[in-house]
Amino acid sequence: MSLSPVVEADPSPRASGLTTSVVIPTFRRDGYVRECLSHLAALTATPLEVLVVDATPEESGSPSPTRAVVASFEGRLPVRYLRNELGAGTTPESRGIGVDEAVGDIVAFVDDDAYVAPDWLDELLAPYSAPDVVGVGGRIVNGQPGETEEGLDRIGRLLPDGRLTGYFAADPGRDVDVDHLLGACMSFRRPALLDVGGVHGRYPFPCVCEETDISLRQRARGRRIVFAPRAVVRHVSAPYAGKGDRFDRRYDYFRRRNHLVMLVRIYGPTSTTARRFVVTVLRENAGRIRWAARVLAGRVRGPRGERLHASARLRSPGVLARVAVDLAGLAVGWPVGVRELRTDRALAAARGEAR
Amino acid sequence: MRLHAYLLAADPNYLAASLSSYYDHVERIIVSYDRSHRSWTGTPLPVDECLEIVKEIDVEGRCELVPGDFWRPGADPLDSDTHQRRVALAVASEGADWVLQLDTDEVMVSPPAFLGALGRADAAGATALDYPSRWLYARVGDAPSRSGSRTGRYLEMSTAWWRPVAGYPGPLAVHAGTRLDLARQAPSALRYRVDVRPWNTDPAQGRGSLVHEVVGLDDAVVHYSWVRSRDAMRRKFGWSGHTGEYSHPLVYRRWAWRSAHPWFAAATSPLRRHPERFRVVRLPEPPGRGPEGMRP
Repeated sequence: MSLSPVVEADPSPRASGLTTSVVIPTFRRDGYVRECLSHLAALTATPLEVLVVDATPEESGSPSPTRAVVASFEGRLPVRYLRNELGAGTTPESRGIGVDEAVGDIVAFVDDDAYVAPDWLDELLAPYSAPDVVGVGGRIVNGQPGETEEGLDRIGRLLPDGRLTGYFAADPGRDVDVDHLLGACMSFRRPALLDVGGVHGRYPFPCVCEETDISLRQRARGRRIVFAPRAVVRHVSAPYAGKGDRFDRRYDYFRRRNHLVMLVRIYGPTSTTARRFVVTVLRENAGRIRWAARVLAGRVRGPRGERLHASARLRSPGVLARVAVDLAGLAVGWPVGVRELRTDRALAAARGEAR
Repeated sequence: MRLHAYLLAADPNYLAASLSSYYDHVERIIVSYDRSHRSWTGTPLPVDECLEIVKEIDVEGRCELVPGDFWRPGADPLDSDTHQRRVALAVASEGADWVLQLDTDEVMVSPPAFLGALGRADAAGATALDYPSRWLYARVGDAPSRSGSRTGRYLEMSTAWWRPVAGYPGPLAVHAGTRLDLARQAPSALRYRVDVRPWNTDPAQGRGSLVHEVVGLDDAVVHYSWVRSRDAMRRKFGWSGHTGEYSHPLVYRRWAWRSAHPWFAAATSPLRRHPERFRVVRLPEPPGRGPEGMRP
């Protein structure tokens, strides 16, 4: 648990003396943590500290294998092992534990399956030379064909209709302003994180939106977040360690639910952003229903202009399952968002009293 | 941000209002015109009148006259349109970060909103700003005004149910050095699209087209496209890059009839297709004040 004393921090000249704490939340992926740490050990500029926050259960006294992995890097990296006893599905809580323990000027988050390039930290810190920048994210290379060019006009946006865009693998060739970042590679000034109450958890299932919550709270205060494409991590997308498929119907449900919860928590239950998102989802689903009706009526042709086979037409109402999932996500998301907003406020008040 | 502009001096109708609306916000304005004072179709143009208006407004010497040979007999008018804009944009790009490309019948009603969007587009890495314009079809009369200021009544392009529709004839600002493909359009540019609603309002953009930012309807550029006297409309149909499309007598006759019967034209909009749907709106004047005798 102790900070290894043998490696001294070597802040890069471009970082202007800023120190960095790197936080790695993990759950049952010790092999990936090993690879992740080995890439961090090869950085040209060493971070002040690396905090591995492990949510792997330690049942009946058997230690998490991640402990041994972290211990093996002591002496090569200023690395610390931290525990999150809440278990699966608590990535934001792991991040929060890391933020609470961090002492660097900048807190950088890296996923355990995201491997940094040697100059990653130099490039990540460079935009902080502008004092109005509170957050910087890097390019997340997934190895998909065409990902460098795809979505160049829509990297990391919160659109006026409440939707989010990603495309963090795109390379615009220069730093660009964004609204949100991905947890696989994002960083913030620590004081900016702390004055919005740190990392906000309670985003269940695959924790969709928990990382976006961090960025949007900064943007809601008018602060600037930058996407720095030269700060590169290679994301290998480790197998999902929780129950179920990463992209099944449950995922769709929680994606809608958590998205609305996030907007309500950050912007308020009657905010324009939250209301627009509801309308957007309703419009999308009205489109799905119209499409299913057109297919059933035989008004939709196949890719070569051919009539769709009867079986294909009869399958089209299957899209209604997706509609039901979306609507359920909205119906649950709003009241849960209101409840979580109250909890956030109560926690903020408690923090204020504690100070 | 170093901001330049170019304009094509051909149509004096709203030139003063258009140029004045952004003159204070740009460092340099390229005034492009045909040396022989002819349009892309070869019809005569009132270029001298345009240059006189430019001279009157250019109190700080920002305008630079750049004549060229843009009437090219035998060439497609739209190709000549594109050619002239490319030449003007190339000159305007020298020493600029961004170049405005407003037509002389487009008025930037709210420069702070436009320039704010341009700044955000630049920060987001875009190379073209698609800013909404309200497309006006005809001025159909005076409107009573509570404040005493003058207002006019117009037919404006709308949805079937009279909601606003934004028009995008091309990006109204492009990064210096951008290549134009067709008139003002630059499909290879990275677009930052502003609209008047969070959901795309322009059917031409395609359903679900991305909107980066929303501005109020009152902040949109006003495009006095077909707001002309009958004589001016006949001339415009002759010189426009779209002359092949417009010069059909039916287009003019419809315009004249709808101008004379605006409420009927608006009421029957649900029965027609885009872009033949209209609503009746009131707009402050000036900058909407047109030439004498323009009323239908």
